[in-house]
Amino acid sequence: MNLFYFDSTNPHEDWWKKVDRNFIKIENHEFLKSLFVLSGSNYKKIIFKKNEKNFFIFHSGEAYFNKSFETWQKEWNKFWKDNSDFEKNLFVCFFSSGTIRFDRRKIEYPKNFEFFQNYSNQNKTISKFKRFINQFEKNGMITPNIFENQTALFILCQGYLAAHGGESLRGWAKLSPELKNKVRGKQTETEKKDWWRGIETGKVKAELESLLFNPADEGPQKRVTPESNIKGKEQVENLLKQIEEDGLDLEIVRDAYLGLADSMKPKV
Amino acid sequence: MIWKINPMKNRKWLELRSRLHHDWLQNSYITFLNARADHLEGSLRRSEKVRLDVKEQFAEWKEKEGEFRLFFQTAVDALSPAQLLDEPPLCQMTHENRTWLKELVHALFVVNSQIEKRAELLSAEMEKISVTQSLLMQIISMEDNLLLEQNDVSFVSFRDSVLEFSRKISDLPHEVQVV
Repeated sequence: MNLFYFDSTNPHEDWWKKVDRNFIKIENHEFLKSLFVLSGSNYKKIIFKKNEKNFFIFHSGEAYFNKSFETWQKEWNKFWKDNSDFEKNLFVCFFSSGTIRFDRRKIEYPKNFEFFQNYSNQNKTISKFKRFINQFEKNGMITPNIFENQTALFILCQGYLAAHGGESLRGWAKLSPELKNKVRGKQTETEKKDWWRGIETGKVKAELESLLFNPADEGPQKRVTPESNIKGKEQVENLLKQIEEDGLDLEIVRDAYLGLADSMKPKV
Repeated sequence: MIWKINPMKNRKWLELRSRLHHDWLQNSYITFLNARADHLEGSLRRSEKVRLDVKEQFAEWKEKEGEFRLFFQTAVDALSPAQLLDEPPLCQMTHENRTWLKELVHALFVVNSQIEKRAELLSAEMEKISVTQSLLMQIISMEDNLLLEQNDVSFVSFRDSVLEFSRKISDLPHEVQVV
């Protein structure tokens, strides 16, 4: 497997050495130019060898990323549409520092794509990063679930609401009476704090932030604040607060469920 | 609507999809059909060389039928959010809670996504294409010279059906469907 590391950050930021793998390092590359470099025929010959896996890491400083993100995003999508036959042997990781907000769903290709927004917590990041490399090397394809905490919270809300009547759940009316009766009997279980075990409230908040942000509309560092998004965010935060405080309320869970559904729905 | 004990996970299904649809159907078989369908329409009866030339590649469809059936049969499980309960952080729940929650989220996913119906329709479409492919295969093999005249089949319409079939596969979601 080939590991390529495109670094446009200050050379002293060599955290990636902790990953303990052999990288082909391309230093001080210009962020936008990376695409043109990759699409050049020489690189295709070198990098995209048939039957070989290629793991790309793009590491960009915050200022540079914010400045050129929109252009890069458009070029990136175009690049992968033109070169989609490489997709299965490729995994792409993005690293960027600080407070950048990123909507993964605006990146269309490839499916094997992960974005690390904040690498200051290096041990966790590097551990996750290593896992991706190993999985990709072993299996050739992985499906990173970047919103795993938010997704988990959504599923727990579904369970809680079903156990307490289920009427607000989309699709509830079409479920079998047997299943409805079975889950309604689980009310006590979902009332326990244990039900929400595993939910890291800080991570859910961070994931929610990244979804609410829409760089295409207002520029990279501003946040879009349509009414529905603000509402959803506040309601999810209310639920997180209640989970932390160990006090739950059906209405709060229902509102958070609707808020999460709204924020997680693929935007067209 | 029941969540199985050992269902096809999303990653395995995507591998199958990539191999079957992207690598074979789109990049190989459709490329072949696009290059040969128009030509085949007129020259088959005249040229044995053309027949021999296309026979082997045209027959590949039959070899892939089993994989396509598996792909459609496993689509529901592979896209179901129930599998997320086997992964962090939800795998930390008690076994009992995970069991009924899996059943619930899977059932909600099935009724909301209509995925079963989509997979069934695609499966039926594949079987229909297979019937046409068999007829055309007989024509290529010259087992029955009259088939082309007697049946309302053509290589061009076969290619168009395969293209439409591929487009519908592309429309299937890739990732686990939660909302």
